[in-house]
Amino acid sequence: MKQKKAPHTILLIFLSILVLLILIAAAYQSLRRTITRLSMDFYYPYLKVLKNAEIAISDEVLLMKSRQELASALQAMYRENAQLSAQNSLIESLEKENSRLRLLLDMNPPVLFHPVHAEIILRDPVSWNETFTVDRGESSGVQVGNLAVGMFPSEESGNLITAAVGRVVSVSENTATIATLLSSECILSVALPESNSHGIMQGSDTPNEETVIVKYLSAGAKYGLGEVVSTSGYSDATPAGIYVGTLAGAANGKAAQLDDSRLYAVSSVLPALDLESLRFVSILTERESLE
Amino acid sequence: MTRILYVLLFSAAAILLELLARSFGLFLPFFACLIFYFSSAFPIKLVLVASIFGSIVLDFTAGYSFPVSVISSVIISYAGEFWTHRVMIRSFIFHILPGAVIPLVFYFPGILLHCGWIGLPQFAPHLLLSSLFTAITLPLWFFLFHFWASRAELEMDEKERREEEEN
Repeated sequence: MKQKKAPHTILLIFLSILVLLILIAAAYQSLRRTITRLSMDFYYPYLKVLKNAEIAISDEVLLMKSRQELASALQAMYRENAQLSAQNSLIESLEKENSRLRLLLDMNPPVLFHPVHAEIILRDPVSWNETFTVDRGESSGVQVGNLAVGMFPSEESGNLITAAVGRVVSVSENTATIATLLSSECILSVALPESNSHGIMQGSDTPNEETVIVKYLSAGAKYGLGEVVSTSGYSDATPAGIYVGTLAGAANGKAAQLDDSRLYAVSSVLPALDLESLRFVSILTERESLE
Repeated sequence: MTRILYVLLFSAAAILLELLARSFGLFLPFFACLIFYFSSAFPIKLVLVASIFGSIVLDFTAGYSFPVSVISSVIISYAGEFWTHRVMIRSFIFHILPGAVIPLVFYFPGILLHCGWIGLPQFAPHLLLSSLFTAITLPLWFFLFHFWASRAELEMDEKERREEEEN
């Protein structure tokens, strides 16, 4: 014969389940981070092997080219390298000068950034345009919040331009997960130099959506379609002036429209990033200021 | 113990294969197929633990914010047990039927959560291709894993063993 459970036993079971659910909910984010870190570090060498194999095959393909072709490509690279070295030394001298001037004015030294080159090793078809994982992590100085940039051909000139791709949302020892500008996890402060305005950009995770909403723009400014949008640099984790895209206009067809509060304007940005062809990114990590 | 190691090793390998396939934009449910096979050969409790932990690892590694595959892998575990223990299976070829359904069950919650209903038509061709792949490969999986398990002299589930003895 079945014994009926006492009411206080049922209450105890109910309370235990409730406490367990609350504990899981409270610890969910840290549990998620821990599991992601452990699993990414476990799978990293195996995922990297495949990428190394791809590189080995592409190196072998290079050998199929003629000596003349390879020699001319090498010459071109030498020229480009020399040009970039000269530009780099100029930038370094400007950095030093800027730091010196800020010190003279008793201002904090500027935050300087160092690019960490990374290759995409993991993507998912469902979140193809929103997140991806790269082969650089904490061991390379990458931290949560760092900005990732990539090289994309400009629609106007065809030249390669450096544009923002997204933000680092989680890191493990050897890998980092990046939320792209189209992801709701990526929030970026942007500047519109032509209209002298600033706003906040955040993706929506909507499939097939090519534009990103930009909110909290100045209601009084005059905006133009196709206006350049770049990073504002208000956050210490993001350098200023990195190209993001162009202003694509609001829902009413104009360059911008007032939001529901009528205090700010809202519009959308067409990012310059091309996620289909993206294979490499540079993560802008903070480096120590110059003395 | 050998059984647990066997499940752990093949689960880790299946997750890796699935992650690699996803990186190429393909839906190939290696882990779901493995769970389906395990539920036919091992006790359901062991399979449930493997499927829950495996799905969490798979989803978090793939960058999902919520381990939505847990739901589908638990369904697949019970479906696998039902299929092999309640439905009379005379040949490996019959596994074509669940093979065609597994990708739809496994990926549906993830697509729904991330893209909503409007995302379904976009992923329909991927799912059909995946369904075809799994329908062809699931009977082979059963054949291969039965072979490996028998070579490793693993203790299989009681019901499975009884069925094998009867056959």
